[in-house]
Amino acid sequence: MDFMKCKALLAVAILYPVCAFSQQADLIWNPELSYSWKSSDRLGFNTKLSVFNSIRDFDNEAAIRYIEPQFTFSYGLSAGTKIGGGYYYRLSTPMVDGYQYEHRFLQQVGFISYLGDRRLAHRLRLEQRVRSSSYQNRLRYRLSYDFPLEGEKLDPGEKYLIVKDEMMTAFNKDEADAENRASVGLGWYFNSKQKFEVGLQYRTQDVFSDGGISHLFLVSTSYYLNR
Amino acid sequence: MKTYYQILLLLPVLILSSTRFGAAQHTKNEVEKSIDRDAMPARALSLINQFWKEPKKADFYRQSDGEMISYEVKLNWEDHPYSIEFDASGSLIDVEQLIEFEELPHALRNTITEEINNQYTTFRLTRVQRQFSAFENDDDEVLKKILEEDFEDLLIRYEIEIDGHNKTELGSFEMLFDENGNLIQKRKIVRRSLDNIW
Repeated sequence: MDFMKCKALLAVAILYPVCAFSQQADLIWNPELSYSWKSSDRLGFNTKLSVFNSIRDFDNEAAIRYIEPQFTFSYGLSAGTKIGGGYYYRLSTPMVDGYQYEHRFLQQVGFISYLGDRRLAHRLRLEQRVRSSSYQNRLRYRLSYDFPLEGEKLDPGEKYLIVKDEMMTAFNKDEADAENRASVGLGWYFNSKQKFEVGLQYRTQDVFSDGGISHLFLVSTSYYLNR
Repeated sequence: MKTYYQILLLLPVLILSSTRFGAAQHTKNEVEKSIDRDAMPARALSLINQFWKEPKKADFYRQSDGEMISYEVKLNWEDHPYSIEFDASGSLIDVEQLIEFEELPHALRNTITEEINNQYTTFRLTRVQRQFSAFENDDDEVLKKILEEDFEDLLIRYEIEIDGHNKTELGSFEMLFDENGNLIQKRKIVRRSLDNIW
């Protein structure tokens, strides 16, 4: 695809929803640092630190919404199929009195297919969220696609585009709700060990809520390191 | 709060500055860049034009592994995608034709399948290419023979990519067979990390 066309598409995809909903939506900046390594062809590990900052509360103590250290592992069943699990810890509003925590356990399966250097991934994830005040299950399905912007192969120093959509339902014995997360991102592939991504995610939340759907925009800046 | 944001904003800058150093150490990786037709060596363009008469759709690439530079033309001819590789002076290195596995002779398919079966408990063919190169012919003679489907006097090999696994290995592999189905070379295809899509 022509690189200028891609940039124009990305700009429209980002600016249109932001302009349309920016007055009422929540705005989050989400820096992430990820580190992955493999102990064999089959077994891989990942640790990540993810921070959610409220852009509207930029100047006060509520700015940091969540801090999430994460750990996951994956086991390759075949070249294109992985299963895995992990644990997240979430600390909510750590700068404000009365902060809350969450322990999150997850199990997932993924299917990855390649067309040259273009990749399509399906991920199905089940989560158990143990919060200081409640318990919730979550079932998530995500479709991701990334592809090089220059040529057929993604070489060091080149950029790539990544689009994702994730649908999920959250439920416990008392209530259930649903959410959709659509995102588009631009990545810089420095080399096989490091890459950087800037993305915009649009979340449609509380789909079944009596209070109506809420919207959230999340700007992510993610740095990925591999061993 | 100010200090917190200063740290958060400074962190990517520090990592990015260290990345420049890291990237410089990987210059030996093979890099493929899309280029304009005009950037191809004149001799390579002349050869292409002689046989394909200004193809409607062709993509041009420059490849470098840090030491050797080569040029590649990708185009479609008679329902097959072709990849034609030249060295920096424009001399032909080889021609690769993307084919279906079923296009190979039955006996050859059996020999190749048996060899892969011996190496992997489960596998799936993902890409099959017929590779033509010259024993002694001139470059234009090689292209002419390929167009006329006169493969005598040409060195033919088959480059087959598979997804497979056995007790010790799992992943994507590139296997090179000679025209009798004997395995010449095998190498693992190093895929990009899945950390951003998995």
